[in-house]
Amino acid sequence: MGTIARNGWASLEDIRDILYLTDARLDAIARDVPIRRWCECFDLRARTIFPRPKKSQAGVVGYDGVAAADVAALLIYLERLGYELEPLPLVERLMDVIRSNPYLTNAQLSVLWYERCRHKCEPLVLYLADAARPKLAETRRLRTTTGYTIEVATSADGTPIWLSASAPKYRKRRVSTPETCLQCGYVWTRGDPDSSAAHRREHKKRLSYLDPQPVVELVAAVAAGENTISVDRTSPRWKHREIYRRALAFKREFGYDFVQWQSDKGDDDPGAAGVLFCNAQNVIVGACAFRLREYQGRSWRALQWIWLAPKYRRSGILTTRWFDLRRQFGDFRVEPPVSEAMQAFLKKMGDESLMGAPLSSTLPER
Amino acid sequence: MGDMDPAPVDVLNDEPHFLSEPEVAQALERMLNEFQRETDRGAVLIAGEMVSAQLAAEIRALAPPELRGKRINELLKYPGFLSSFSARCDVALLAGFIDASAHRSTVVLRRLRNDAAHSTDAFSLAVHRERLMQMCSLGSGVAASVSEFAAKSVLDDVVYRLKQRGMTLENEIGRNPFSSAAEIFEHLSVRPDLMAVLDERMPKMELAIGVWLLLGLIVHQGKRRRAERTTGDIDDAN
Repeated sequence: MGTIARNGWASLEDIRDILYLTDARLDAIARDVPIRRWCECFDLRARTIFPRPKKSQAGVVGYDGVAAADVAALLIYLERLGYELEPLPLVERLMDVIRSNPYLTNAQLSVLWYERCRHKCEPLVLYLADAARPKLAETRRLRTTTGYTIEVATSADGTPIWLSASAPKYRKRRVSTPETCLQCGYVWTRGDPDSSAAHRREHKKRLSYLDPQPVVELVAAVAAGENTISVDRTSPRWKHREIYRRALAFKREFGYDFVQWQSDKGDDDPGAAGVLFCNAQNVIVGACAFRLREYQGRSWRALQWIWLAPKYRRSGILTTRWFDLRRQFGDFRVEPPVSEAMQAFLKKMGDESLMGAPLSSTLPER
Repeated sequence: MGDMDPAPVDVLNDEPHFLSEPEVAQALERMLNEFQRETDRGAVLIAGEMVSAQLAAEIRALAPPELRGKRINELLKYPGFLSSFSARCDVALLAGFIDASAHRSTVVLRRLRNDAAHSTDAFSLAVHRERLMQMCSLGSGVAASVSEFAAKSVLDDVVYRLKQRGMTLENEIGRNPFSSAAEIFEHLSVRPDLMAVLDERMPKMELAIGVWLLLGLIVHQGKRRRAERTTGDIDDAN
């Protein structure tokens, strides 16, 4: 096994030797079924390999070989069928290389998870191809010396139709079903620890803007006397983080392709101007972003997006701030597409004209 | 334990502290409230108006009986010759109602007010910091003390506000990040944006404290002048 791990390859004869030295039953079957066929059963490939040619050598003679990880996987599969094998020495020798690889094959994954999943894997089922499948007549069950339960279905003439091997420590997992979190809208799989962890992480992040709480940085800024919660490229990082989260929420809610704020670390566009809507409790209830647009010597401000946390909608927040936005950004253009709610709002404010072409070529004093 | 000792009395100088006069103390409170809402330009205009009004009050109080009543009102009201800030400053010095340092300070404030009122560009006190310090130079080391006191006041204000807010924050977010002054200073130290905001507040605070001292001095000097007159009248009668 040491040589196989070192060389990275095993000849078909090497594999036959392993089977010969381990389970006597395997040796017997190996005489009838070629090793190449064994590999094919488990989707493993034998390939032609060549010894490294010497400097003066003109040609080399190749022979069939199987990659070391594929050999380990074959041994693992045979163990899962109930044979008495010890894949661990080869697995241990291959682990260092596999752990450092960024991408893995199926066989390498089997090796990587071997120790964790040994004797706990899902039942392995082998069956005849559909075309050759005869009528099922009998099902038998037996237990191997390694504790595996084998169930085999045969036809009337004794031809095996399918065979299932169940591991001794296998426990049926709860069925994983995709679920959508009612609070944050994240789709995750119940029963999958990785998915649950990802949901927990994302849930916390999303709730920070869907159900916002006072922001410590904002509390300190207000206490220090800062009263304009505007965001531009010179603003501190926390403001970019907060406005980016709202831009992301806008993108998710309306299904757009891009987040319309550069990143949660900053936005280097000198024409970018964000506004955070905060209430008296230092909660950021929403945000909007403007960009400077220029065309044929004219320039104007454009409202790119505006987003309010659902629980704060229809409470007059935008109405109370609209006058300040108009004063600060002048006759800005509300960039399409404009949601129905926003269209209704503009109509209410008598500012439907902002949805059309830019009205003014001059910018208000900032 | 016996009764508590009475508060020590300064036998040589038993008059109240010049900044504890009600009108002076109220003026500081008013300035702190108003300046918070005002721009730098607005703050300077308010400060100028407060000092001008105080000078008018002193002139009215120290005017000779012949000029009291309707006549003094005419003089102090536009277009009377004492209706302007500059005339009030100069007359107060001429009449000995204020001393040279208070006069110098009022002149600086008046010029600052004129610049704020008549400039068409944005007005920022930070640009006029040097003149602000000149206005506060009411004695040796006073300007530096004003600056120091202003910085302390601004910081104390933030610490107080954050401590108060921190207590309610605990219920809202489950922790109080501002439970002690040390925590608050630690937070401020990693927030250059906040330090910049505090820095911006400094000139207005210095203006408020400088004007507070100036008003105190004007009131104090006026009071002393009235006391001297009363003593002189008694001596004359004797």
